Amino acid sequence: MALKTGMFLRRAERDDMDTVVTWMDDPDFLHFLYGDPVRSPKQIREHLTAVLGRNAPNTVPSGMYLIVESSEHGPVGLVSIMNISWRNRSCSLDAYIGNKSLRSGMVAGISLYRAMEFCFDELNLHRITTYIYSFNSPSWRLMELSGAKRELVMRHHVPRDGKLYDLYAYGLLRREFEALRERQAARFKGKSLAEMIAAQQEALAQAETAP
Amino acid sequence: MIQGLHTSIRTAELDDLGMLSQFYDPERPRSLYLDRRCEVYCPTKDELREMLTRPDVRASLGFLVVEDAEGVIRGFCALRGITQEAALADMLLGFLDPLDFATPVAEETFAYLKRRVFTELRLEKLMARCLDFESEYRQFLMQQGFTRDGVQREVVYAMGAYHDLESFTLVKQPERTD
Repeated sequence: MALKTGMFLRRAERDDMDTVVTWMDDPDFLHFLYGDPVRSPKQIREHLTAVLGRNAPNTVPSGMYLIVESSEHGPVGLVSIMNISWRNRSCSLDAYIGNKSLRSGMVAGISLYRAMEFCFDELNLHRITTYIYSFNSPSWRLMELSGAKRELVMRHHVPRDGKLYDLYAYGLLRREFEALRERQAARFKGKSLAEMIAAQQEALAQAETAP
Repeated sequence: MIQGLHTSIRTAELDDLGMLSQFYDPERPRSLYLDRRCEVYCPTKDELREMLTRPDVRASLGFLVVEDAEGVIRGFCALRGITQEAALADMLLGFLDPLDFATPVAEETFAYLKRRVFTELRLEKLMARCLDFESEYRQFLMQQGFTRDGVQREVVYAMGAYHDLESFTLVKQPERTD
């Protein structure tokens, strides 16, 4: 991404377990993503251990968790890349910002972009699918901004709080991500943080020397 | 066994392995082979045998074969992913010859599945998917009143190319009171 940020993705480790269990146990996580409210923290831990345990160097994982880490705030969110099909070169993607004070569009957007970069550039996938509930409009708007297409609308599909909501499936193909990358590169050309600081310093210096 | 005018529907037995394995032809993939990751899955006879003898599969009437009036096996059907909370199920329906979708055999089989889903299991939705080259199946779904949820683009890789996967839903119609 042309825009420089202090946020990056890294593989989840066993040391992250407590943080991730806390996020996954959060009612917001269950509401916007998946899981069962009766699942105990111990069960969540066992599930995570099973996923993290598959990351030995010689195995081909069908799913992985990545931690969104900020240089300022530490771990702020979780990206799950699941149902990886090495045959179809596809996966399903979920992102969750656990640090509630950082749930702005920027943090979620950068996390999602980094996850997409990882899927296409590192895992060499062809397609990403995300399933988003209709009431989670910030998420599906973000997907639409990325160039993903709303491919499925499943009416009255997801039960939440005694009501049924629509489920949207978004698909992002590699060529669509590359188009997004080109658009972003043009948009942020010469707009890295360092360059912005340099430009500001230059402007200040010019103002001081002006008669 | 469910006896119809043109078909009889019964649970698959180990004796049907030969016929069931013919279904799983990697040269001619079908949407009903797709697993959770949309990968074409062709089980071996051993894997099929294992599936047919699993107690949970037998108890839930997992695999049903469809025979015509002469007792010849024409196809197979199953319900998968039954979710009581969301009141839905996925339908798997296939015939060795796709042209059978235009015959009363397919209509009777579907009538049984519909009754099972909406009346016996009291679910609200029946879902189905078809690959972009399964035109007979697609036409059959549309004729039976399924509505289109959309198309997942380039989601299945088979026969050297990417294929689209179309999703359909049939919603339970309110029962007539007259």
